[in-house]
Amino acid sequence: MSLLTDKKPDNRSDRRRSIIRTALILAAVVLVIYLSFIGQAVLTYFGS
Amino acid sequence: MKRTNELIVALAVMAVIIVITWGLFAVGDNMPRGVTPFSKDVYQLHNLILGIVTVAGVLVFTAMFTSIIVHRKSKGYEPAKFTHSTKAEIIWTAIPVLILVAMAIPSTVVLIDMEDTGGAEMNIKVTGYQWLWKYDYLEDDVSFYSAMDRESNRARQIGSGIDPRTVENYLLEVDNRMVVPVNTRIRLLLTADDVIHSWWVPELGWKRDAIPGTVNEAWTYIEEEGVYRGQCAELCGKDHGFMPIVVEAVSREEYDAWVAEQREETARVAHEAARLWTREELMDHGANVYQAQCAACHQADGSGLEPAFPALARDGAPTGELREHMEIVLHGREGTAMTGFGERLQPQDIAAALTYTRNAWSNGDGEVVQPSTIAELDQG
Amino acid sequence: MSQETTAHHDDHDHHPTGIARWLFTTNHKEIGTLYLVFSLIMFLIGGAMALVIRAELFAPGLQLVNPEFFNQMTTMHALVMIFGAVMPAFVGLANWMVPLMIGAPDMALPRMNNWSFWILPFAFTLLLATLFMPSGAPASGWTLYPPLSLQGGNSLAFVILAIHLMGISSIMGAINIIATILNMRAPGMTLLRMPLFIWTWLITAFLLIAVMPVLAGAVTMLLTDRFFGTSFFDAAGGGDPVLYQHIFWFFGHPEVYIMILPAFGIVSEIIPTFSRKRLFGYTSMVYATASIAFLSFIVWAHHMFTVGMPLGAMLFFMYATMLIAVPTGVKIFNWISTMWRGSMTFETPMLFALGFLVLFTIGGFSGLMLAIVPADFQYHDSYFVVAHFHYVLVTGSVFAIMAGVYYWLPKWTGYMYDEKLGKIHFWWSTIWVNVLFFPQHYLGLAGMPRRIPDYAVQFTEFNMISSIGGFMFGFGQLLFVYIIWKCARGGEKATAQVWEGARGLEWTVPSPAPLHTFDTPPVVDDSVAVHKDNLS
Repeated sequence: MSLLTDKKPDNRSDRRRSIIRTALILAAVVLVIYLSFIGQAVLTYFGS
Repeated sequence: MKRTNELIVALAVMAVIIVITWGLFAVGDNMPRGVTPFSKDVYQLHNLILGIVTVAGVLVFTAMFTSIIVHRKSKGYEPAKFTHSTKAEIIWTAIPVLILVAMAIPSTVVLIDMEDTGGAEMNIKVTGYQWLWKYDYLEDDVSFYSAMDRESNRARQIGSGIDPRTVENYLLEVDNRMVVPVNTRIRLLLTADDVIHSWWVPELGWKRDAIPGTVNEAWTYIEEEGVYRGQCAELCGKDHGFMPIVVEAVSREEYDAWVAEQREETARVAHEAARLWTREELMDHGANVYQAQCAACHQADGSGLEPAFPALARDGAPTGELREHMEIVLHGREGTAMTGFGERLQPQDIAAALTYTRNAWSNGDGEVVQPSTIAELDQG
Repeated sequence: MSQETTAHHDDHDHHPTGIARWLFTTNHKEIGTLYLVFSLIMFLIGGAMALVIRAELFAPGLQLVNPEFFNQMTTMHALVMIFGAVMPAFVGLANWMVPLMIGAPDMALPRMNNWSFWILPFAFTLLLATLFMPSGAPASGWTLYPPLSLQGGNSLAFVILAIHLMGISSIMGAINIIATILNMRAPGMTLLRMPLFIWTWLITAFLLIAVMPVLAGAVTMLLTDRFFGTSFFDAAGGGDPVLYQHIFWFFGHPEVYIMILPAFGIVSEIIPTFSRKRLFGYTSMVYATASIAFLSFIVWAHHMFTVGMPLGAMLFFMYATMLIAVPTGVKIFNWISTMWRGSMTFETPMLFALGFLVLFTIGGFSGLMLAIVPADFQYHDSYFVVAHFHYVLVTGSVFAIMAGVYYWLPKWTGYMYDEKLGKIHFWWSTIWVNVLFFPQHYLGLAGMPRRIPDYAVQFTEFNMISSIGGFMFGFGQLLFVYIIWKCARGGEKATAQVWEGARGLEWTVPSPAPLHTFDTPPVVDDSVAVHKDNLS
């Protein structure tokens, strides 16, 4: 699988897997940033 | 042939652009030069940067408009084929970097100078409130609140019918000016009581935020006697535009006389708080205090502005228990815009306002509140 | 480069009509249209709020609105324009054009695409509803600085929820764009052959993913401070109001680049077309965009120079901010070099692109002035700042959006828009937008603070001029709405190519572009690619 190279999957199911993988990696990045901010708000509220 | 044509058009275009630029500079005023060493440094820096970007703009726009005029299909111009030039990219990266470095040097020098707050000869603590300022002169032990003056406050009410142009220094005058001596290195300590405000007097050359829970430092050294006006520069609620600043710079002798006067006034006010007042005196003074402190929200006729500002005429706290009414006026009401006035007003002001609101607009039960009652309370 | 448009008609037999069609569509063209129509409506609403502001500021004294309501107007005007008009417009343009430009049949995640859009009307209903609540709309500025923002009523909760929803919409959109561009380019469409609009949107999408969660964090902390007893921003509880400003602007600065990079992309498509010359310095343009994006993360405190920062910090942020002028300047020079010795014609898209070039540059210059910290001590929170950001956002982003709309309308509708009316719209807008915003530079230098409903009498003349400009500019936008509506209904038929100098895959499909394009990937070679990269 390639993120930033020009080699791309040739067939449909490989491409589908690649798209999902891209989306999940990005969503994970988002989640990490979200959680580090919102998480501390929640933790503070619960007093830890 | 091509080149000559472009050059001639470029010169003509540049001339037109320069004329337009000159016109734009002429129609408006520049930043004030100000009356402190810092303000003058900032003025020069501002002119330098403005000058550089103007020259850059003239050159860039000349190139653009020359191209627009000459390189047109309607004139039969054939498009060239070039698509890149590494040499050009390097040149127009390097030259801007050099220009930026040239700008950064004086900017750094001026900033370092401003940030060095040492060697102060006097200290004034400035506190921002919604919606006025308080000044505490730490060495001279003088302390007072400074709010927008009555004339402006009356004129600015919506539908007042008063033309602002008939009010002197509309929105830029206060009841108690911040008087300071010239040619003295003054350190200002800025903070706030409620939300973030910002203290800005353009002729002093800077502004600094007044933040609750923090004390910011700045310094000034005023070289010319005069009156300098400024405004709050950080949105702080509904009357953000109505809490001006007036600094009056006077000679050392005049300043000392003013300090003496202020001290006498403090003593006189304390005496006033202790004596017995007549009902008439209280109603009279109360009307003034109400107009200055309360009317902006609760309206001159006590009708209020629901739901944010309750009505007081035949309604609300003045028609209820005195204890509770006093509590609200002294300490404010949590979760609303009603702030406490116990700190910022004298006992006779509070007592008078209470008396007034409990008797005006046919609220009246004849009840009277003495300043000494207020003074005896624990003002938290 | 064949294009199958007549096959798969059996799909269309099942294609829903009416409301259901728009509610459930997963088609990038229809979703693009939804975004663009939504954005136009929001632009008019935000514009109306601006007119309330300019009407009150026409003369000194308070004539029309209470100060509280005025503050609600300034706050909502910005929130609506930023999150409701500019950002959705760029997403709409991306939805329409990204698949077409890279030879993809649709976006990578079409159903998520539908959701990304439909969150927005819901979010804005929440936001605009606060205007009708007892505690009123938020009135602490779009930046929502505490402690002031914590003084309001319960409407704060609605605003925060609305912002969360808009953020989720943007993040999903950004994920979609990255997944599409990285995985679905037609064979032969290497990264360095992609149109600049694709590059700028690719980079913008990464910015969105990095910073929208930070905004979410900041407003959530506001929420807990207000309703759940935390004191992130309350000194009495051990917190600091300035902390909010740092977190907010860490989002806020990249946000303004999110609003300008796609504009750079649009202008980089239009100028080559109407100069009949390839974009000058393609690779440089890509690197410059990436540099701007990178730098945008390390300059945020230039929005906070007056809070009382240590000297070293102020110097760092000053130098970093000044540096952004370099790649931005490179882009301006490259655009001019594209024009230079081209063979230009001046249809409406080109007029708006050239207007952008001049006026955005002016906005950039005032930005450079603002970077100089000691001078900023005078400019900050004055009308000088207001002038600066309106130049880069209105004559920058909005003009670029309009340019893109005129440029691509024939492709979307199949009809040429009315060129004469388009030119009138351009000239009207350009003249009045300058009457509206240029005087504000002088007002700031003369000492007028921002966010005030009334002013001292020496500011009268330029405020009057600015207000007149505002009303004239505002009403001129109704012409824009008419032009679009008229074009959608009919006119001179557009060819596939539409513009003589246009180059790229999107100009190989018919006008109007059929609902399904590039079901079979096209062949990409130098005749279609915008950059001759000598790779094959």
